[in-house]
Amino acid sequence: MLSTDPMQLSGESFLANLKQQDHVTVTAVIEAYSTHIFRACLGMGFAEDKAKEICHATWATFYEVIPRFEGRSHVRTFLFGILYNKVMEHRRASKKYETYDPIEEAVKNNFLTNGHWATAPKDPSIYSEGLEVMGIIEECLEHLPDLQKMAFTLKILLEHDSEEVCNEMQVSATNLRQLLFRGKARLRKCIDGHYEE
Amino acid sequence: MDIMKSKLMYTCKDIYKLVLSEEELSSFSLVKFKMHLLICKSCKVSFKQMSNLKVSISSALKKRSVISEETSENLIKEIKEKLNL
Repeated sequence: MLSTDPMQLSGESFLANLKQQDHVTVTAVIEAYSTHIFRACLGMGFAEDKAKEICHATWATFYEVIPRFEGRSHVRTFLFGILYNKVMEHRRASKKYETYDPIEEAVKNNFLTNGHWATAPKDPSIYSEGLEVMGIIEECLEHLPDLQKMAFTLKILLEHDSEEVCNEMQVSATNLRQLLFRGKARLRKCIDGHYEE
Repeated sequence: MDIMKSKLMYTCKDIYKLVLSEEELSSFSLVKFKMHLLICKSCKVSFKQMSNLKVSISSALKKRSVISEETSENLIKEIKEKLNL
């Protein structure tokens, strides 16, 4: 049996076996990453049934296209790239990175023209893990655009490094930083809104 | 964010952008960043806010994606069956 250690799932013989759809090799990849894929779908806000459906669709496509996998990235990056496309198909969301996001206008209003804070930031404890705060954060996360949710899921939940996330989501490093910035700014605004009511 | 590198001092808005975007800083930029946090109480508060928020986002995403060992095993079994492995 092949190890499911990510370090072992690489190399020339691994790639050759994978491209031939060798059962032992494909099984090792499935055992290594199925749970990650499923958790990513749940993290993106899909219900369990839908998450399972996307997970199955991701593996079906993976199996179909592995003879064409050239091994230029790690198999995990390749797999999560497929997942990303499946998620976007299910959401019918645009994969296009938007150059304009209204949250940037809102951020501008937090600052004076000289770059100083217009109003002092709120007490940091309203952002930490209290029971009430967690409920608010979960609700605010739901309202994030899909690309921002995906960036959070890959970077914060699954702890993939930035370069890997860029490859999986097919965005540049600048665009990824912008997605993280916009997502957090949006969450901050949403949380602050709850405390202003 | 190349423009940030050429700045002698960061403004509060620059600091806010750097923190939220998780920009990797060069050693000189890091010094400028830390200097600003030392003298600016509002940015120190904002930095703490974002550190707390990141931990909370992680917890919220983890909570939502918890699966049992049984679910995981069944899922793997189903995938293998569907692919005839």
